[in-house]
Amino acid sequence: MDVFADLIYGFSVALSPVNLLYLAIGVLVGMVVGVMPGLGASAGIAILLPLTFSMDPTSAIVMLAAIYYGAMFGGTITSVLINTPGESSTIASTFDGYPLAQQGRAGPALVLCAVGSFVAGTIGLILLTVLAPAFARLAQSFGPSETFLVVMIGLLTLVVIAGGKWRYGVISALFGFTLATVGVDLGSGDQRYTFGSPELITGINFIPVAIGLFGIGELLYTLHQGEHTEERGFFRVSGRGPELWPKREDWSESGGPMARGSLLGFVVGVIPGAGATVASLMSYSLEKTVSQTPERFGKGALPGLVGPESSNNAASTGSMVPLLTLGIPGSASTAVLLGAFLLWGLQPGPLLMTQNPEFAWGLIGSMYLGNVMLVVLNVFAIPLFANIARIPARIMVPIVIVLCVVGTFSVNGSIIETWIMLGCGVIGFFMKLYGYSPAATVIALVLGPLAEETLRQSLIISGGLSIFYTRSMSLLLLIIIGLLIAAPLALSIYRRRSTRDDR
Amino acid sequence: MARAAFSGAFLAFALAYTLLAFGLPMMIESGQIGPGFFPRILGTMLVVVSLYSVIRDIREPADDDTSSDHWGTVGLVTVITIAFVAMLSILGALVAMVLFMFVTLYVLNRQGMIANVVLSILLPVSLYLMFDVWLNTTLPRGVFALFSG
Repeated sequence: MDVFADLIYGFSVALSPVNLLYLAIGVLVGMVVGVMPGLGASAGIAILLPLTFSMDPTSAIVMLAAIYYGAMFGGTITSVLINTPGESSTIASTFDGYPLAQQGRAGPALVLCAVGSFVAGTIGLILLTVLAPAFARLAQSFGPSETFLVVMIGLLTLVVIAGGKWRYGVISALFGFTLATVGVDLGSGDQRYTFGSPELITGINFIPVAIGLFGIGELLYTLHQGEHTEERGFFRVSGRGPELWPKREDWSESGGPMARGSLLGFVVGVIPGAGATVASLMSYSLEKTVSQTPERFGKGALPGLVGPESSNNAASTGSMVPLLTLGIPGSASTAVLLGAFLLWGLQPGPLLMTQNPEFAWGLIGSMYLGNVMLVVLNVFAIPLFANIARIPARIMVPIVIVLCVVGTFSVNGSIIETWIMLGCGVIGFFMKLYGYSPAATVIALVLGPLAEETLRQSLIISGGLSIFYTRSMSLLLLIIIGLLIAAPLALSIYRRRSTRDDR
Repeated sequence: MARAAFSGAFLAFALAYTLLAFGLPMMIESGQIGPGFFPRILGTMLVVVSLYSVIRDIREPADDDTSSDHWGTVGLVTVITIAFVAMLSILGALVAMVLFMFVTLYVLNRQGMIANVVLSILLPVSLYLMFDVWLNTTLPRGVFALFSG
């Protein structure tokens, strides 16, 4: 089997001492980013991007990807111990994780989460290993019209699933696209929206925008919620002793949720625009539905914690499929990762796996190893990371602001980009406050040039819009878009009717 | 009302963007699609959606609570951060970071003054060493560049 040979090759790349070192740094930093509320994976990756500029591309991406999935592990710790999700994808883990900690069962809960995350991550990776080449082959038949439609599906899914008001989601995405049009137009070479500024000719860089929206915006929101005035209620976990280890019945109770969470998470992760947060929430309701004792949910039911935890890790692995094979990110964090790929001149897409096998398979190989490192770290170093989670927001906020500012400046040494970052921070705060989607903005900014180019090519090829319905694959994607638009509309009309009938 | 003002800001942005988009050529001379094509579509859509959003925001009362006792802190930290970025190129990164850390910690964490001073010096110095010395990315030196050359 050539997939197997490719994977062996990937391991040989990942096992080089340099890559192992960066992988270890990446998972450690990812854990720290994960346990720091107010600093999500996307801001973490964006801030740390400049640190990787002196590395070779494979090492850099190995490290950045490790930060991404490491944060998924880390976010659990704060959800369980202080009832504050360190990542949006670990919100569901607070529902039953915190009650478990209140009952003095934080140790077993965290150990089972770590094992669940490891199992899910590994199942996800096996599926990724097998499916990615197949996806890449399918994607090779994609022309510009299909690529354009897949970009639209990704953004629409994000807007529809986000659950907030759809008009805010649409504004967020369009805003990102408009930012992407600043700079030199690829088709004609004309400048657009540069206002004579030489710094804007190359366009608006996604790094300051991502750091602003997810870093500063999130911090200001933390202050708005008054978290700097709160002392963190906190549960101790000891690093050893019998109370750390799950009992036999805990294991048997967790097996099903791990397996279901892994599969569900992976499938949701593969869909562009869905992602880890959605996957974990879906897994929570699935576990509640299949449970014979649904009344225990919310009061410390292990399946309600282990299921979502497995699911969000499988989803973060699953989202690597569209990222690597189509170049379409499903979430803000993967959008930042995509931006990092592009910085190194690696265009993810159907050809990536055949043209840059060292990179693609090295990354996949490193993820297997990273998962092993993470489960070891999570079982044996929980107290250490728990201490980081205890740092109160009033001290965390200034530290992270400094990291955001210095991190942005060091990318290009540009003070204008630092101002852009700060402006996006204020915008990001209001977006978060009023329920807009900063993730849609960043994804649209990163994918803007691709969307414009593929739309232009499609129109040139067919001389009109016909290409979107005469090619069968495009037509299928177009139908999916139609359903994505129609479903929420139908739902809201139905709801309005039924409330009217009630009156 | 603040919510409608935020949608209104997007509407204002959309109008300016679209106005400029119609100044860009729709076609280039060879008959191909020009640089104004995509911005015109985007701008028009953004105008329509944000106008609709402003109207809805004014008409329907907000269903979520965005009130807070901490607006003062949010504003103050924003202003201090703006001053921090402005000072970067004047005072240099190291001094600006130390000042920013100290002032912000003074605002947020008044109980632990000793810890504040220690953190305000330790973090900036280690970041400076990491970025400037180890990673060789030049942080702004400000007026001190005159002395260090």
